[in-house]
Amino acid sequence: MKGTIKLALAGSPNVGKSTIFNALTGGRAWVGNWPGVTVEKKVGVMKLNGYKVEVVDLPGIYSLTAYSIDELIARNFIIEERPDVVVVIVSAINLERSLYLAVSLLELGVNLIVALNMVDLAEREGYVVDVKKLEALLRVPVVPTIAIKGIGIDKLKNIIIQSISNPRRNPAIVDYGDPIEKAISRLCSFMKTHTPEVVHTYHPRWLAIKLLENDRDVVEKVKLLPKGDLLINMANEMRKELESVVGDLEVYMVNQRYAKILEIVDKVVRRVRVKGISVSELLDTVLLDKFLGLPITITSIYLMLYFAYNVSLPLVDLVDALFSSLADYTRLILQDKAPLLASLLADGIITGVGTVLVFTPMIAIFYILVAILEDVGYMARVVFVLDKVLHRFMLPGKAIVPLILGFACNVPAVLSARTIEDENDRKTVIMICPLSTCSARLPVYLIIASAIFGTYAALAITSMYVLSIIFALVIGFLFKSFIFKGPSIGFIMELPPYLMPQSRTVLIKTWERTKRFLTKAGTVILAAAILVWLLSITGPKGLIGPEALEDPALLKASWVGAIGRALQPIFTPMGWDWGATIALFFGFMAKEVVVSTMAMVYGAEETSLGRAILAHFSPLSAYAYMIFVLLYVPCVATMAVIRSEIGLKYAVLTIMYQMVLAYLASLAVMFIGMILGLG
Amino acid sequence: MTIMRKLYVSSLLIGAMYLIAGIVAIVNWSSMLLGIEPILSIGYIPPDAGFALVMITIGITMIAAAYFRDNIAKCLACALVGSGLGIASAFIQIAVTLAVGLDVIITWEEGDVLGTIFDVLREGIIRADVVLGLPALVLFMMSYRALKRLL
Amino acid sequence: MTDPIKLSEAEVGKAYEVIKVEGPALIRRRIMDMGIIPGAKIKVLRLAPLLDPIEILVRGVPLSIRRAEAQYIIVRETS
Ligand SMILES: Nc1nc2c(ncn2[C@@H]2O[C@H](COP(=O)(O)OP(=O)(O)OP(=O)(O)O)[C@@H](O)[C@H]2O)c(=O)[nH]1
Ligand SMILES: [Mg+2]
Repeated sequence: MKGTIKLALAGSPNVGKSTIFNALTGGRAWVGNWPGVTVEKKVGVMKLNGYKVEVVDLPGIYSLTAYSIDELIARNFIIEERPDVVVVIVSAINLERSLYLAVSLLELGVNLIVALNMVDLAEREGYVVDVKKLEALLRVPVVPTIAIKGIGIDKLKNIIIQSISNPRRNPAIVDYGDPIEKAISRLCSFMKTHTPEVVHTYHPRWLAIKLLENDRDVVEKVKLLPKGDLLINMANEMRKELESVVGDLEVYMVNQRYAKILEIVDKVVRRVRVKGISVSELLDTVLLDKFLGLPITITSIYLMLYFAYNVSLPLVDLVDALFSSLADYTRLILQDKAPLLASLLADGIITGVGTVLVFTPMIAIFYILVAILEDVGYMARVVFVLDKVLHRFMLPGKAIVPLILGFACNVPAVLSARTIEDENDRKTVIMICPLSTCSARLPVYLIIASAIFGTYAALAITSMYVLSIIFALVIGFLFKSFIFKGPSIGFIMELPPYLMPQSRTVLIKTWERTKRFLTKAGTVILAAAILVWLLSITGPKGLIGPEALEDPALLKASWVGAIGRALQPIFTPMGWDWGATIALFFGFMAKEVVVSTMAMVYGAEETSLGRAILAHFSPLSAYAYMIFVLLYVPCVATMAVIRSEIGLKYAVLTIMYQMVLAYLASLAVMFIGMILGLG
Repeated sequence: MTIMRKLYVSSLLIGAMYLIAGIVAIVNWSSMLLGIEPILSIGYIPPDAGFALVMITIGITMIAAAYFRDNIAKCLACALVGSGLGIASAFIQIAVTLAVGLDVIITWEEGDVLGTIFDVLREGIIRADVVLGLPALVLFMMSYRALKRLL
Repeated sequence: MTDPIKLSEAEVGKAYEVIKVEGPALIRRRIMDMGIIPGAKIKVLRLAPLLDPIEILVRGVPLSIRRAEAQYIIVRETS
């Protein structure tokens, strides 16, 4: 072992950093064809020539100025942790813009390697990039790659070995012109003599440039260093002087960099075929069309849900059957020897966890479809088409992804909100995620609607989906206008070219998303299932025993019954009895538990549950109940991720607002219904 | 240009069929909501709003190919996307039908399984979205071939 | 020479040149980092079906930008 080497993968969003990461380390970073897939740094290890190389995949950044959390992560890693080698990935189909970061990194004086990725796509568009020339102009090694096919990766590894054994601080290549270069060197020499601490932390030339540009974040940090104020004052004065010569200094500097880049691009890009219309452009004329764009988007989302819900049906039933026979079997062998244990396992754990796991096939299929859409490049288009609607409600366009994912399960939906730039926006989106009606709520709607509404059942269920979207938008709007005020950073999104989906990419993402769902089911829901079981077989008068689960009269005497009856008065206006109330209480665990609890409480088999429901609800109170199930509290698993994503305070706030909302909304349904004489 | 002409005329015709199926579905759906027997009972068109949405979208996209006939690229793209969606929806319906058939076996407790499965399959396969998938496939091949020539 | 307008008022299908980028410091910097700087060429490709955002072509790359941000970009039509 020759030691550990830190290597960072940097680059603009969507240039293929994660794909290269996976190729180098054999890792499983998420890849997707839209900007902003990677939102956290991911570390993998690669053994190279006796070195242990820690490869870090970073979120995409356009420049060394950071805006969102994910961008700050990337920038701070490069600047503060000072990796030994930085591989900057530039995209051959987006050379001008992606070279901007490369040039900025050269300014930072890092040990740089350029990976020129997506050369296959450049060829498809009809041009080639002269690698030798690019190398000479940038004065750093350049390796052409096609990351998805693993082409160029070995060469990249060789170059990495060379850079490790022979590290170079590469020269800056942009010349800012006389007065500015003078100012930069004056600042640099000032730093060396008067503030050596600063030079120790930052690369002098880069720092001088950032101070002249008045980079907010850098200024804040330098202020904290000894004699930092002095340096800042000096830079401020110089800026004033220079601006009288070149105009706005920030504009001037960016301009100089782009001018240099244009000069390079002109020399290295060679067109080999005249530019025709590309497939992406062709498809976009229809998929983003003024009239066709919207119906096609909605149809695609509908077809996805339709496919996932229906095709998973046999698998869902299969898992269901497996769990109930497992429960039966457990009872069979344990009933006589240890009745309490048998009940804990069968009625508590297996049934409780089972009701949630049943949805795994549906969720997995839905995620496969979402991952395909992401990889094809259509997700970015969905955001483009629907952005206006979200903007109206002051939400970011990217909120669409979590809201769609939420139709399957809220847990991965909450996690996917990480791509949202603005922290306030992200909190808002996470807090409205649970309003997106997940697949676990469907069985509740199904059983109630088909029992009560007959031929109108489908309409009643569809209305839940529509209301779910409306509530999410309106509540989001309220949050943005009253709680999470403040500016949201302007959002500009790249529309990536359409690509063939990669099966590896799709499977990795589906598996990871599903795994998160399964982990929650295995931990939080397991605990909740045991708790509910305990509360059902014990009561204020002590142990009742597992019989309570079969006998509604006994159940009434348990804690569950006591809680149900204590809470029931709150719901008198809606006309729900204690059974319906306790079902809601158990729904905390997972919404589909509402159905199984009702079946238990009303002492009915689920097949004839319909008749029991008909006896306990009026059409109006039933609809109010559906609304309540749609809106009230996230399930335990979702609460847990909300907590881990944005903190306990917001998790509690989410629970509270949802309770109030659900109560008011169902009360409103009753009220309006009464007025219309539907009571 | 006879190829393009053939293309947009077929796109128009097939699109019209999709559109009609969609309209019938929406009419039947509304009449069902009002508690009336389906007014227009043509073939196997489910009285379902979602189905109507899909069929109408495919229909107008295909018809748009004729509308944009002077713009070769856009005309082609409309035919391509419309027929692509048509094939996708046919494929999805077939998959759903098979899944429902499979589900009958899994949840089977008593009665005539084979008969039930047969009914499920028959009803699923002769639905309008599956039947129209065939002309959509032909249209897709036509426009794909024309596209290759254009690029 | 035509008059300068905001990019949010630009017409679909036409080509423009950036004259100035305005707006709050962070947004302005973001826009410039994306390569939208004075002198850059912009083509307006299309409006989203609901008229916002707009799709523009900058440095060979299609970008989606909301009108709210596009208003900070001052452009002039070029032939
Ligand atoms: N054709 C082609 N596609 C590529 C190549 N490299 C990556 N891709 C695809 O480009 C898309 C983006 O790749 P990612 O690895 O997710 O990009 P990233 O830079 O990590 O993106 P962010 O994490 O969003 O910043 C994916 O759909 C990849 O399959 C390549 O060399 N050729
Ligand atoms: Mg990535």
